[in-house]
Amino acid sequence: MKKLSVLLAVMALFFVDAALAASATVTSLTGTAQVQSGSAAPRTLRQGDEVVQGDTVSTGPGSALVLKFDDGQVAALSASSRMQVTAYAFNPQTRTGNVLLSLVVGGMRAITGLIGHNQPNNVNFRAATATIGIRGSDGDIVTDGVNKVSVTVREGEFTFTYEGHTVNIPAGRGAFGADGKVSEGTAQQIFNSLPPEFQRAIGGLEGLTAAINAAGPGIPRPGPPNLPGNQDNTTPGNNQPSGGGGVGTNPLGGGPASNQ
Amino acid sequence: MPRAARLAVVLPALALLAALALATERLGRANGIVYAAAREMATWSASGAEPGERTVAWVRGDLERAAALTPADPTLEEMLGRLALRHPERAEYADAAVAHFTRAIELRPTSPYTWASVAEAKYRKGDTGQSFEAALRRAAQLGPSEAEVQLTVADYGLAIWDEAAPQTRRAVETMVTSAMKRDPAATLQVAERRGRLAVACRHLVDAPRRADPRGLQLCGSRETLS
Repeated sequence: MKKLSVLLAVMALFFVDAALAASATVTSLTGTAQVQSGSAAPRTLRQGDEVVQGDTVSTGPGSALVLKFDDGQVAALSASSRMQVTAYAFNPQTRTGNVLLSLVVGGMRAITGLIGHNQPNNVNFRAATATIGIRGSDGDIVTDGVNKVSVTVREGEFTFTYEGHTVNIPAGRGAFGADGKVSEGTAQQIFNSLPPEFQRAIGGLEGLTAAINAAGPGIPRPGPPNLPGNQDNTTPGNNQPSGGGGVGTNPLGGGPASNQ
Repeated sequence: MPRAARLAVVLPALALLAALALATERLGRANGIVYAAAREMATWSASGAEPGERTVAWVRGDLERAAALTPADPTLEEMLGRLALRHPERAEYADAAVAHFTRAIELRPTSPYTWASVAEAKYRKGDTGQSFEAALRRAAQLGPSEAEVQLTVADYGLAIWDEAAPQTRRAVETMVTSAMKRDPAATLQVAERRGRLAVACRHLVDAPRRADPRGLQLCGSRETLS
C-alpha cells in the first residue's frame, strides 16, 4: 500500500514535472516559429510552449515572438531571427540565476528581469562576434550573423564588446560594430547609419511593443505554467495538483495503479 | 488412490506453487527496485531540482531492471516514459518516451492518463499529426471527468486549435467546458497561456465559481464573455 501511494504521488507530480525547471514561455507569436532542442528535430513552436536552456528558437519571414522567462526577463525576436538560450537558470527562492542568450542572426529586444536587477553581471548576450553585458534593463540588438552588430539602449546601460573594443552605452544611445570598428552615437544616429535589414529588424521589434508590455516585463512568473493546475514553485513540496480528487487519487486512471 | 494418481495431482500442484512462488519473488524484487526509484523521482518533482545525469542513469537502470522482471507493468512503462520526457532535447529520448507510453497503452488501453501522456510525448516531439489528435480525443473520451486529463487535453488541444480537425476541436471544447466547471482559474490560466481565452471564456457562465475576480477580469477585460 505504501509503495502504491508513493507511485501515485510520483505519477501525479510527473504531470507537473516539466513545469518546474527554469524556462521561458512563448507569450506572443505571430507567423511561424520553430524550436530545436539538442539533437532532436526542429519542431513548431506555439504560443504557450516552453523554451529551456539549450533550445534554439527561430522565427520565420514576417513572423515575431515574445518570450517571457521565469525571472520576468523578456526577449522579443523579430522576423527571420535565430536565438539560442545558451544558459538559463533561476532560483525563485533566492531570486538569483544566470542568463546567456546568443543571437545567431536577426533582431532581439531584451528587457531584464529579477536576475538582471539582482545580479546584473549574470546577464549576458552574444551576437556574432560581440558580447553584450546588461547594466540596465532594455535594449535592441541586431546582427547579420557574420560580423555586424548594432546595439541601441532604451533604458539603463549596456556594455558592448566587439573585436576587442568595449564601450558603455547609456540609455538613448547606441553603437554599431562592423568591419572591426565600433561607431557610437545617439540611438537615432546609429539607426540612420544601419543597413536596411538592420533597420527593418529594429522596426519589427518596435511593432512588438504591445505584446512585450502584455507579457509583463520585469515581473516574475507567479508559478509554473499550468500543467496541470496552478502550482506554487516558490515553495518546495507545495506542488500539489489542483482540481480536486482527479489525479491526486488516481493519476493513471483506469483503476488503481498496480505493479501486476 | 493409487500412487500414480496421487503423483498426477501432486506434481502439477507443486509445479504451480513453485511457479507462483517464483512470480511472487520476481514481483517482490521489482517492487523493491521501483520503490527506491519512485522515491528518488518524487524528490526531483517536489524540490524542482534537476537531477544529475548519473542519478537519472541509475534510476533509469533500476526501472529497466524492474521492467525486465515484470514486463507487463504499464506503470513502469509510464515511469520510463516520464523519465525519457525529461530529456526531449535528445532525439532518442523523445522517441523512447513515445515508445514507452505506447507500450503502456497496449497494456492498459483504457487509461485516459496514459492517452494524455501519449499526446504530450508526441507534442513535445513535434508530432502533432493525426495520431496526436487521436490520442487527445481518446483521452477526452476515456477521462471526461478526470481533472488532470481535462487540463492536459485543454492545454495541448488549445495549442493546436487552428490546425485541429473538427472532431478534435469538439473533444477539446468539451474538456474545456468540464474543466471550467471544475477549476475555472486553472483552465483560464491554460487558455490565457495558449492565447485562447475566448474558448474558455464562453464557458465562464457555466462555471460554479464564475464570480472569481481573476476570471471575470480575464474574460471581461477582453470582452470574450458570450
